[in-house]
Amino acid sequence: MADTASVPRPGRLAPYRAVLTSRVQAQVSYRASLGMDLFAALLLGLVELAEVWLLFHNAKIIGGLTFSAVLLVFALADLSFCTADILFGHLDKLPRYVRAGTIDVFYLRPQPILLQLMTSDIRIHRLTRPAVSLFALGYALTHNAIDWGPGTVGMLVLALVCGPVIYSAVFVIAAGLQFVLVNGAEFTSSFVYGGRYAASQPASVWPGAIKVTFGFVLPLAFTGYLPALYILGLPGEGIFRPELAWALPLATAWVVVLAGATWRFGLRHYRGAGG
Amino acid sequence: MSSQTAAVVPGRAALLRTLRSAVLPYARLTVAGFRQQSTYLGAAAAGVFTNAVFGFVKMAILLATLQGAGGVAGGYTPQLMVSYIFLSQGMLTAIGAFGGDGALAERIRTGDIAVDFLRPLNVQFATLATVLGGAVYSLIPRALPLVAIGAATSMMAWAGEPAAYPLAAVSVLLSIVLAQALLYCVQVLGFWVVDTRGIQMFYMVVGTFLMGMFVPVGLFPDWLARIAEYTPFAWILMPPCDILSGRIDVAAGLGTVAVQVGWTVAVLAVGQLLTAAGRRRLEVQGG
Repeated sequence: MADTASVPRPGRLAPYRAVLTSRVQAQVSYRASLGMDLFAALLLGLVELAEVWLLFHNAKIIGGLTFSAVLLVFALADLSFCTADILFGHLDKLPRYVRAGTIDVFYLRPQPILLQLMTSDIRIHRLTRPAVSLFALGYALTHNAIDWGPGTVGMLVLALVCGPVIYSAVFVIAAGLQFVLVNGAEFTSSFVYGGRYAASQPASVWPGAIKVTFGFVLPLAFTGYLPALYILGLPGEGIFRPELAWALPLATAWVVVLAGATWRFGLRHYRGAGG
Repeated sequence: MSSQTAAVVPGRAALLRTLRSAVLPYARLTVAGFRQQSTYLGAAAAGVFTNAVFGFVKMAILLATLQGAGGVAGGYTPQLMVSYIFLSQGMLTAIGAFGGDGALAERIRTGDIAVDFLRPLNVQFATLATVLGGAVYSLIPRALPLVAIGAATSMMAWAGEPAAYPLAAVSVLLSIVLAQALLYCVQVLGFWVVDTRGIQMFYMVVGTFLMGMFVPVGLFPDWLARIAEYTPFAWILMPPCDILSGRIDVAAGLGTVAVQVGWTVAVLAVGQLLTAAGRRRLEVQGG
């Protein structure tokens, strides 16, 4: 009794910190592997940028945007995605836990399951990937005629804050659905990776159904195209108007609520693997 | 007369028997791989959906690019482009564009590969036979629906010459063998490196880019297209799609298929050499 009283109780965050530290140490201990992973991640970023460049090698203007304008769309969307991917991309591994039944362990600990899962890993071996989008952002901000003012700076900050939250919510939505899908895990790639791919392009070219899905149901147009329109002072097309970008906090709140609901739905659906 | 035929027939029968026992195990593995994959229909349906979403997004941006280029670019009309998109999307699983299942790399890492070496089979051919069965099967629930979805846009171009279709079938098979033989080589590097995930990701990133998975090689600037054509990657997605859509005629198609054969033989040979070298290096602990 006396012993337990004299030992200070570890802080509320201590378990999360312990897990994350161990994950970082695990990735750092194999130097050659880490180096190769970091290099591959950098290359992935470069290839994604190169794909955008290849399109503009063939055409000067695509979907109403020039190459330097589309670089801003790419940079904002990709930077947001990469940040979410490094922090919460491991949620993609949930189907493996569900299939193997190891997810049960998370139910046993006295911590919220989603919080445990979100802090169960961090992909530091992907840290080089956002370097490419940072470079693209620097290029886009210096090679476009931008009317700097409180509005444009505010929008840039808003996009860089809300974007990662939106993609994190998308990862959580995908994870919530995994409880139901199990073998159809690939389904969620359609909006996680398909969404990232679509969001790094001018949303004006999307077909109607995708405009609704990636524009508003999952507000991915808000991570790149819409803020870019506002910052560059471009008119936009159809429903995608630059002023709409100010609804970014609203869109973020919506997708976070949607993520919470999907996660709770998935969690209730899970019945355990026996064992 | 009678003794002569008697001598020939057993000779031929013996030869047939040898051939049968040499080929049959691999054929059985191919059938097993085919049937194994046929149990994952749900996964295939999810895959078709995902590939279709990617297909439509790709179609939007690539058609907008053609429009920006004045209608045609790199020999692609909008119809040829739509054909390319849905045909290539349908083949992605078969060619293991996302790295396959990595089962071989895992067997090497755990040492289970030692058991494979004990079997009276060629490890490379046995591995490839199983993978190829599954890959060919994946064309049924994945490629066919995607082609149907592409056809529903009524924008797909198809080759006019009847001879293009059997040639395309050969080309698709060669693409699958070539791509899977390459993946085999990457995984076999596990004999030298403990963790091949970084190498596999590197291979996947470079491979899918040079293959033209997102932007077809035809839209590459000349210098980059040259580089791609000097790698096996440009000969995986492009030839079957080009032949089927009629972007190249049968005469040109024969030439590309010949190049595919050359690359396939070369990569298979490299795989054999790597396997032999890796086997000498392999050290399995425990008892």
